Amino acid sequence: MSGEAASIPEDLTVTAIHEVAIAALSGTTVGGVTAAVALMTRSRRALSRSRADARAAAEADEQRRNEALQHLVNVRLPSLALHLRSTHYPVPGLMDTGLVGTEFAAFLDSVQELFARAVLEERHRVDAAARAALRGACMEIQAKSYQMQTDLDFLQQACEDEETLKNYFRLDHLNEQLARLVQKAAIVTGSWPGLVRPDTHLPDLVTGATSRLHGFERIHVHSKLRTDTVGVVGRAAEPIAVVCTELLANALESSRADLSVEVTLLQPDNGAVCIQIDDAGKGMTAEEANRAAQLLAGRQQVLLTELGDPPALGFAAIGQLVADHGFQVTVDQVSTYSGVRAVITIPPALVTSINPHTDPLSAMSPRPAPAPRAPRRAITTSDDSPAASPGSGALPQRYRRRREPTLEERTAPGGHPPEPEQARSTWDAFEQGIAAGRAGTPSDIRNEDRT
Amino acid sequence: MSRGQGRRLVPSYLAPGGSSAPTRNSLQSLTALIATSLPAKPHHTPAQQRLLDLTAKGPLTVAESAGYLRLPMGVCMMLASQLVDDGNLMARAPLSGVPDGIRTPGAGRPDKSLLERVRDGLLTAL
Repeated sequence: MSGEAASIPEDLTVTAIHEVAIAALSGTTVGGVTAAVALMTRSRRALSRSRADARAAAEADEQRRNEALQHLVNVRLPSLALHLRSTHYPVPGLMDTGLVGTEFAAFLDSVQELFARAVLEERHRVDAAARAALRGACMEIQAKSYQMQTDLDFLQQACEDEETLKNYFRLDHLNEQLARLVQKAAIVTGSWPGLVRPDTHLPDLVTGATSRLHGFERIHVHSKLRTDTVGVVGRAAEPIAVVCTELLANALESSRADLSVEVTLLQPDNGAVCIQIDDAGKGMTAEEANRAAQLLAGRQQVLLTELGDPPALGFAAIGQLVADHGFQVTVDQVSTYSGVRAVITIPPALVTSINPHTDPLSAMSPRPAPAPRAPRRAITTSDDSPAASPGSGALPQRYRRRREPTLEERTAPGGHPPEPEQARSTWDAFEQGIAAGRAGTPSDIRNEDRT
Repeated sequence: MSRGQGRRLVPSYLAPGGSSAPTRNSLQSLTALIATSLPAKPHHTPAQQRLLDLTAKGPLTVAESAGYLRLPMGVCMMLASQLVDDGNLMARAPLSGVPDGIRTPGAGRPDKSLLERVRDGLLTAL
């Protein structure tokens, strides 16, 4: 609109100049002097009019700049502030395309940049202050919680009364859950996990992780490790326990209260060790999975304000620990129960070997699964089988030797019913015994009689 | 339990299975535990299975099993009484007034003079 307004006075000026030129030409003709004078006065009028037009143009120009400035203040900067909060808000550019490329437009852009930088710097400063405050509080609570743990543990050592012990157990479990929540928040706010462990058995770490959660009874840990010497080096022990706890917490939360969470400890051939957590929950949407993958990669600085309200700290804490210690966590697979399969991969550099005799596994940890057992009875050629006699031309055949069923197998519910012949002979003997008893004669004599 | 001077990792409340009914609470630290050769059930915790494995090799007192499992005595008693309730263990009360000789249940009351001689022998051997 303002562009159109600017073009009108220009046109007027051009026509005025044309008139003056025509008048000057016609002035050379004989007898045109009077006309020339008249025209001169007219052109002077035209000139003053063009000066007025220029003033009007300048005013229009200023008006355009004012409008662009107003647009910056009222529209562009507020939407930039929104955009910095969440990138899906669009930021409009210059409204007046006539100003594009001018010095004035560059000034406006630099104002916008300065504004963005100030907002971001201030946001980081405020967030850092909030993190520092939270970190300080969390670390103190964590320390107190560990003191409580020591005290409760001491009380449990001395207690032999079952009811009292159960009460201690309840308090101990509550305290462990509290310590986990506080530790998680401390890690997100930039603290270290808060304690150093010696080299630790992997099954102990995972079992310890389950103990920090409400509903640990639903977690089943299966060890498919080849030996009971697999350990995690001290510096990574507590971080891996924390990561495992958070993934287990997610698995428990996202699945119904009557569904179990299956944890498998695996030892692939590349020297790494894997903790695999399968839940039967509802899985993650593509958006959630994307967000999780971003946080788990641990490459970006996470702001508290980006974690929602109440803040979801789990994945952010895992991301921090992954970045600090160099193990890997993935949650992008689907479990066999169509829930989520989370896998923690511990690289060989963080795996160590622990002597189980000097440093045995905890009694509460799962033992390594026994190696696949050889069949109990070898399949042999039965002695009493109707083997082909040499020279008959038939090929020798192998028969499975029938073994007597063990007591367990015979009495197992749902086992095979006894063979008819066996049942008959058993019943026969029973009848004979009764008959012999009634007749008052020893059964062996009666047997002889019968035969 | 707490290994070395490090902080505890695996708490004792993981040892007994879930919410069990209060048991008879009749076990003592010197009660002998004897396996009944009934296999462990799927709901048994790893600690309960460890206790069954231990007692499968021969009768053991509660105190000894607590030592082997590195569990507090009370926790081990809780485990044992759950297993007694499930029928996997039999408990035999200790002979009254005798501090040892429980490893072979029914061995009778050892002679005091014999014990003194054993003690003296051990002291001279050391």
